[in-house]
Amino acid sequence: MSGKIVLLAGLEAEPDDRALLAACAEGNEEALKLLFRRHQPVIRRFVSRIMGGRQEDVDDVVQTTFLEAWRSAEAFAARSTVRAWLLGIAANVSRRHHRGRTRRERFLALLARRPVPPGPLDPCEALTRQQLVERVRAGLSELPHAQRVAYVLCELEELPGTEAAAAVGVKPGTMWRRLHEARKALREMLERDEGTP
Amino acid sequence: MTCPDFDLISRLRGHVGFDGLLDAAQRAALEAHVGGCSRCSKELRLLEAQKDAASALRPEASDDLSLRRAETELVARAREPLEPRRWGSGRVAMVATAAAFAMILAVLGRASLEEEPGALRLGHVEAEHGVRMALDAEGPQEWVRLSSGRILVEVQHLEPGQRFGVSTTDAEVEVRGTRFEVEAERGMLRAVRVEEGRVEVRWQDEAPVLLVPGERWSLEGLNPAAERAFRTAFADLEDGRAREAAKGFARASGLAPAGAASEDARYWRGVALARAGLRQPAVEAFGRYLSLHGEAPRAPEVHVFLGKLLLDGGRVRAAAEHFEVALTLGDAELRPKAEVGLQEARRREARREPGDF
Repeated sequence: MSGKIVLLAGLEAEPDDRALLAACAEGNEEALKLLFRRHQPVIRRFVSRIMGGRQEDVDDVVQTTFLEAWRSAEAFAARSTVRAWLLGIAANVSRRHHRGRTRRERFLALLARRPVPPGPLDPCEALTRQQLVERVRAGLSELPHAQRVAYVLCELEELPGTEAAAAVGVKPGTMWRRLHEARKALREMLERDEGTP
Repeated sequence: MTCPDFDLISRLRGHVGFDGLLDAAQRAALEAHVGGCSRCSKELRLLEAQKDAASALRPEASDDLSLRRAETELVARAREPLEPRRWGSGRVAMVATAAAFAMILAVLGRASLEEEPGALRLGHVEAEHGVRMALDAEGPQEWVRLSSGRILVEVQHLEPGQRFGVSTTDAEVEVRGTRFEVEAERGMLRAVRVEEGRVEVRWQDEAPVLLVPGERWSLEGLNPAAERAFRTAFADLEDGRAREAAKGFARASGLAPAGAASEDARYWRGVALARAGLRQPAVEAFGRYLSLHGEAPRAPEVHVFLGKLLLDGGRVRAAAEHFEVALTLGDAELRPKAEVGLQEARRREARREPGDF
């Protein structure tokens, strides 16, 4: 897919993210498309990990995230990267989306989706890994939203701590505490599961 | 060196962008210990395995066709003032009135101003210049989705089943016959001020806060209503009315969740709940304090409080972890208390009292 768009009369460029947002703020739909193409894989992966639920929910949240970005493009304050900013929006949109669903619905959605099997491993190893993936998935879904966001942003999306903190509008110390608590809670859940016959 | 608790293991593993989790001496001592300790090495490996397993959680791949479809749909939604798929196909209208205000329905400020006085049945909205928002009406529900700027809302008496509110990406403000002002930035709620009636603010995971005329909810900064609530709660605590105090401190932090007094209020709420004998709510309150203010100067003290409460509740292992953190982070005055607590926790763990975990 070509990333070239005409942003300004006579100027063809491979725009960086900030230029794309500036163009979005001007109402340039091509810029919105390019922003979407460029970042939707990361946002989709993030939302999927945060929500752990049905694909249509994930897609809806992803689309709403870009719609919010389009509407707020002018307000982007460049305190973080555009990617981190989008992740912050996605975190908020997914929280709001999630609130409407009951715990049971989430649980059923969890059961309905099976992860893609990992790469070529020994069958026993693969089974152990698959079980671990399932337990981590269940563990993540039990975390409070803020901790889940911290874990996925820092640990899985590998955003630097300060950037993750800026993305969701908290201090770095708070983000660290959330990450640590998420790690701790997951560890305790895994430990508890191991003790379950 | 005895095995460090999980807090220190987690700090040792750290994360890029978080500095100062350990000083050089602590790091060197921990690395030396972990290098020769199978238990601690296993803890670190478990953290990696946890991350590795979580990394396998990925969405189903999108093919090019569905991607194009999503892109087309996104652009179509961006052109509309509403999000029909999410909010339904209800009637949408905007009301522009006061001369001092300009009402702009914002899809990036590109026109789409639809004036239809009276079509918004339940409420009346005035917006400052530059406000970004969308209105959504479906049946007996009307919502203003505010992205940025300040609006003044007036709502007539609502019949049973009717709802009117303002939402941002992080909060909802719902009313029952009132006049109030709402301000947002980057889709996030910044402030709410009530002129008439009552408004309930539900922000993130905080408990809902009810505002009465003259009161203001603000995310940050000084908030007179929050300060009043704090002072009243503190007086209640001093007079032995611990339960009332706990409610008051909750209200004080709820009125300005990131405000100047919110850390104080959360701390004292934990103290009040503990004094009221409400152990589990106190544990939760202090846990919330640490999740929000884990780097605050009072955090080591809160770890000791939590340790004591958990110990009283028979959760000796969790108690020991908090005492250990307090020992690591606390000052010379706090360390003896943490040491006593830790010894007691270890003594009880060694005895394996029934119900301990």
